[in-house]
Amino acid sequence: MRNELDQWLRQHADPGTDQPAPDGWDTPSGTVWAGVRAGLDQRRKRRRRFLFWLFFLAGLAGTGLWLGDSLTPAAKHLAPPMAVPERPAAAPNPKQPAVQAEQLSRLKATGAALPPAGRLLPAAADSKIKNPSTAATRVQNQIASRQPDPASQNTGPKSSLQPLQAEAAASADPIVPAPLPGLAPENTVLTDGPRPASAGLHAPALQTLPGHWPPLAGPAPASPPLPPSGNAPIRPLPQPNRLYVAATAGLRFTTRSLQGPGNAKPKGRESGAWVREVGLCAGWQVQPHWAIETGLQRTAIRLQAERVLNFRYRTNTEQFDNQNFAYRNSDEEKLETSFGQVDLRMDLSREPNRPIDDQAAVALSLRTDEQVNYWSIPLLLRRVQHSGRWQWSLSAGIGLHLEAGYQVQVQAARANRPGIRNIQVRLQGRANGLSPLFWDARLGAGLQYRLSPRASIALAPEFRYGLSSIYRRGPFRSLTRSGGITAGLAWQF
Amino acid sequence: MIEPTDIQLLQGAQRGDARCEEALYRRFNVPMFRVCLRYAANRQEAEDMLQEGFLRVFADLSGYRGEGSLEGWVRRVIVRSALRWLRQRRAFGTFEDLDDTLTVEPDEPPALFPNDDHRLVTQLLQQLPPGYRTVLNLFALEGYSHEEIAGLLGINIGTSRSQLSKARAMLKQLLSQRKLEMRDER
Repeated sequence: MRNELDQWLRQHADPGTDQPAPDGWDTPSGTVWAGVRAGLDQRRKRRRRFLFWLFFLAGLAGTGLWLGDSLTPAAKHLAPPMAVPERPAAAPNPKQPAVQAEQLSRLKATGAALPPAGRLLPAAADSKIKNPSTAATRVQNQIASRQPDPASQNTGPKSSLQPLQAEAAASADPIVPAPLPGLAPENTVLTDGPRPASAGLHAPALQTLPGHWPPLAGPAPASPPLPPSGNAPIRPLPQPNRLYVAATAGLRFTTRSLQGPGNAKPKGRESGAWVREVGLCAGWQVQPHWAIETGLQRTAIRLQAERVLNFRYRTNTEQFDNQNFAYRNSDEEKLETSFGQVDLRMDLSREPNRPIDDQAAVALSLRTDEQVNYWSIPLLLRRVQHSGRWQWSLSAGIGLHLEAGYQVQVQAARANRPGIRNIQVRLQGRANGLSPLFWDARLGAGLQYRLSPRASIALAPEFRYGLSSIYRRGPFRSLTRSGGITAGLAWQF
Repeated sequence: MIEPTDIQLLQGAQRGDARCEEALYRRFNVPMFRVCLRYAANRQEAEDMLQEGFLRVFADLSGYRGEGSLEGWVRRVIVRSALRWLRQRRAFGTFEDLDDTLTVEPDEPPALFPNDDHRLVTQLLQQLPPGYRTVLNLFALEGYSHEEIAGLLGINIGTSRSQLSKARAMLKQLLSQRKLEMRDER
């Protein structure tokens, strides 16, 4: 239930007009809109960055899928040998007629008597026979050891070859090789009618010639090349490629350790932060399992710290009246950051209704966010192991970092009232303690998947430990430690 | 020059037009700042609330469906943002931090102009503890019920009632003191 006091409050809380008071007590300062504008810009920047990475990853995945799909047929022939699927029984064997023709031509060339009826068998009847010449010898010996016994013909087949023998014996025609696919058999009149069916495993196209089947003496003459078939030629696996390049992108978290006897360590708390890293690398495979890599990477070290500063200031009545804030210089005109000292200026605003004093001091909390960009050149030795399409590797080496830019942002707030506004920090110059270059040692691993004979995607975690200080001078050494993971697309030449 | 309507500004801000966003801010910053001043302990806190509140307004522009006035919707967003701001800083149920400045004296209220009761109301509310101030604002000025206040602040209904009762008592005391001071000044 609302009482009279509530109604009085409601009636008098709002002046009933949007016009600000003449003295501006109900008008926010200009920094509010500046903060809103900065927040909106930052939000749009985050959205654009999110969309960029979304499209980038989608493009990367799409490219990988496209490469995998488009190059898979060729890659099948380069893949390691796999179990050959069993050929359907009804499918014709295109090489079988050629083997039979080869047998006939070889017999004719040697001048040997042709085997009697029923003695010539399809050389490729046994699917395990790989060499036609030895197959013919084996079949001949097999048949010679089993002289046909007319009395035993009615007792049923003795072997799997006998049905073919009986079938061949039923014909008195000379042996005519079965038609080759696409070729008409000898003494065949070509017509416009349907082409004769090619000989299958049990095709009845074989005809026998009268005569004796002599044993073949010595090695068979060189067989002519097989006619081209419908299958793609079987090519050997390629030799390990020598040169490869890759484009990589990833994230890296860097922190540091301070070493040395000095007590001049930066005050306050400090932590590392994630940064992006992009780069190009090139490798040379000097041995089947060893490669040397180098490249160029754009990386960074980012450190965030929070420090408390005792800020003393003196008011300036004239400036306060004109600009609604008082400009003051701190006694500590240098700010000690993670990478050295930076010239510091601060403006501390005041409430209009607060009396102006001559001297005041306030504890300020300064949050520094520093980032040093580097160009990095690695030199790595990589041990590679293959397993089908997968490849894993271990790498070790060193990296040289060349400083390529410095950014620092400082936010100031009252130490006990973080919400207080209008503390403007201005920094001039850059941190003076940075070393222009430093070295680190690297230890990493890699997992790679081959999308095609040349393209592959890779995922590589890596740890780095600083070998030299990121400080140019100072009583202690600042050594970096960083861990990160990168993803990339590699191409082999 | 014809000023754009609220809907035109809203549509422009939804498209990301920076000029429309600034115009929308300029249109509502003064009344919304008065609201924030009543929830905050001082001007700095109010400006922080206003900044975060307008960021929320621009982020949730698509949430305004044209039901009611745009100013009323912006006000609701600002109030909820101010409550979130207070919650994040654990302002409820805690004592005010002592100022760490060495020589700066506490705020002194400026002289009141005739018919300047709204400034008096704001100053009185700013002198209340955060819990009292928030419940009194929500109940007396925003028109929320105790059930709604309990839901907004995450407290019991009984707590809301007791905070309101104590806030009224303290406000009466402050008001009587202030009237006496004003009578003495005259």
